[in-house]
Amino acid sequence: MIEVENLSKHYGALRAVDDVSFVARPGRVTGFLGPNGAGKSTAMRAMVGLTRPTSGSTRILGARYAELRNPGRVVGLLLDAGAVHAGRTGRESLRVDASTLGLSASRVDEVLDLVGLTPSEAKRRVGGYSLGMKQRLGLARAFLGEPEVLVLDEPANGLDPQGIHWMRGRLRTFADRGGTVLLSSHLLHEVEVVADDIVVIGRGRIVAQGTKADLVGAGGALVRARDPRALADALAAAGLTARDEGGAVRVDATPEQVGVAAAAAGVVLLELREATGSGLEEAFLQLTTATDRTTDRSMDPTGAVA
Amino acid sequence: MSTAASPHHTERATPGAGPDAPSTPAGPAVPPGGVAGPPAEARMGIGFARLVAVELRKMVDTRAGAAFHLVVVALTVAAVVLAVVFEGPSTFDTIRRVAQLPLALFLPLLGVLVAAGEWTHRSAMVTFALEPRRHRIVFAKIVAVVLVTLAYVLLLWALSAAGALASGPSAGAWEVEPAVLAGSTAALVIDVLCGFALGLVLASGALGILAYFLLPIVLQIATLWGPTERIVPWIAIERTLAPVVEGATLTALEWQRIGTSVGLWVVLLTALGLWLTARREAK
Ligand SMILES: Nc1ncnc2c1ncn2[C@@H]1O[C@H](COP(=O)(O)OP(=O)(O)OP(=O)(O)O)[C@@H](O)[C@H]1O
Ligand SMILES: [Mg+2]
Repeated sequence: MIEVENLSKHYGALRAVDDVSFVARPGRVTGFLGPNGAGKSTAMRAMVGLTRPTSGSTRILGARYAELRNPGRVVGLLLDAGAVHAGRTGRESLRVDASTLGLSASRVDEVLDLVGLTPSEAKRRVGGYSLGMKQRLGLARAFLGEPEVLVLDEPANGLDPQGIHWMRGRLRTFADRGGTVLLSSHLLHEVEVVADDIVVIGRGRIVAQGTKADLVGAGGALVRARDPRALADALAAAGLTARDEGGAVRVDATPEQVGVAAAAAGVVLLELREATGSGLEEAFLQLTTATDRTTDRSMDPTGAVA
Repeated sequence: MSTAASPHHTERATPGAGPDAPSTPAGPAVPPGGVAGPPAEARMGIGFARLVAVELRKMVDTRAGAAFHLVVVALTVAAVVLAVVFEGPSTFDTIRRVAQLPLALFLPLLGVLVAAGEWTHRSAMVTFALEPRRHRIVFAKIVAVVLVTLAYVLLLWALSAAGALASGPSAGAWEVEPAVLAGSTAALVIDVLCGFALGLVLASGALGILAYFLLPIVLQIATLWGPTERIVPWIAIERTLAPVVEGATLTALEWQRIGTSVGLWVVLLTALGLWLTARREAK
């Protein structure tokens, strides 16, 4: 459980993080979504005291991070995979942390194996690592202390598709076993695939938060009927607003509401589904445009996969 | 991504399935995310001795770190050999005086580099995430760097003794005043701590080393200017420590000057460094 309360971080006049409050619950993956420069990394650093917050506080399992006596055994952090001494080998870098945490060297080999860094790669100096290898090392470090809480800043950065797939599965399992996961991304798709709850941040402020279902619901339902006119009448009768979208109709309601309305009027449906993906994307664009720096920000959901 | 990592993706999924859980099966009974709060080991904290051991390890586990120590050891050995070869009949103490020069030059730089290292090498984010009470890391580094300095002094004495033995019997080969040994060791440790304090305040190895070398030069120049002329004897560490190195019995005035200079360049500067370290943003 992570409870963020009125967290702010100002750099001079710039409010990088501005009165941010949300809760990341155990058993759930919470996605921290926002465009570049929104304040995600700053907020995450402030949560664990690497950056002194201007005001506000964060509780992790009920305690302030600085009050945790051996925080590495409670919270697994990946904030910047590049922030490692380049002169150490991957394994030595983890061994240093393992001895700080009071863990054996065998735990290091376990997590190296877990993230798929081979023994020969682990023997090389981090300075020579590729972006994805650094990211894997960072993930290994996050898992090292067998934490209950994970705070990961753009964990998919630099990972290949298989690596991303593996990581998502990992985070799902972790949450399903009762762990708390907070992960950030500027890519909607990334968050949409893995998160249960979503917190959207723009220009330091929280723009929206809720379960994925809530935010997806904001995208409405897509429905197609054999008789479009009858459907339009049925929806109007049920008091639902709808608009035509090239053959299908988008309704500002849940698929259930649409189905009930159609059944009541005896309308034959050909297709009825939640307007996922594009719906959340629209929601994200909608929610962030107000605080967006540019009017023409490309949020290509296909680019999100790579 | 690197092709090197890809062949292992399939392997990873299967054998790695065991530690998939946030806590291993053998781990504590506290369920992850359970209401029981942090596990017991997490509440116990990190022992100071462990922090010191980690800091000692971090001094030698990088190529640059290992190279640094090799160079210092090599130069000390070389200095002993040169002292034996060129000084004719050498005594333990004449060899020690010569061979201490590389230590006096390099160990304060070690102090600077160790103090600034977390910031220079960007490891601060990880180090201070694992121990948010940053002053404990700083104190562990101080203890580690002093231990290393003392280890070098022991090495120096051993090498000097070997040199004295090798240069054959000479009158008073083993004559040395304990006060000289103690005084020169103390002066070395103080220099190292002064370097450490500069590195801690400036958070940069390069700036810290520059400051360490500029400081005595600036103070020397300051003696030429009336208003500062009388202050310098109180704050120039190498001056105030000169009688200590010779093992002289110190006068009250000399003690006061030592107290002032050490208080300024070691105690005050370290306190400032601790204050800055606690506030500095790790990113
Ligand atoms: N040390 C600092 N001094 C001044 N401004 C800063 C500092 N650190 C961050 N900022 C500013 O704070 C804002 C938020 O930055 P942050 O890195 O938290 O964004 P982000 O959401 O992580 O973005 P990205 O998706 O690009 O990683 C940016 O405008 C950034 O320039
Ligand atoms: Mg960021």
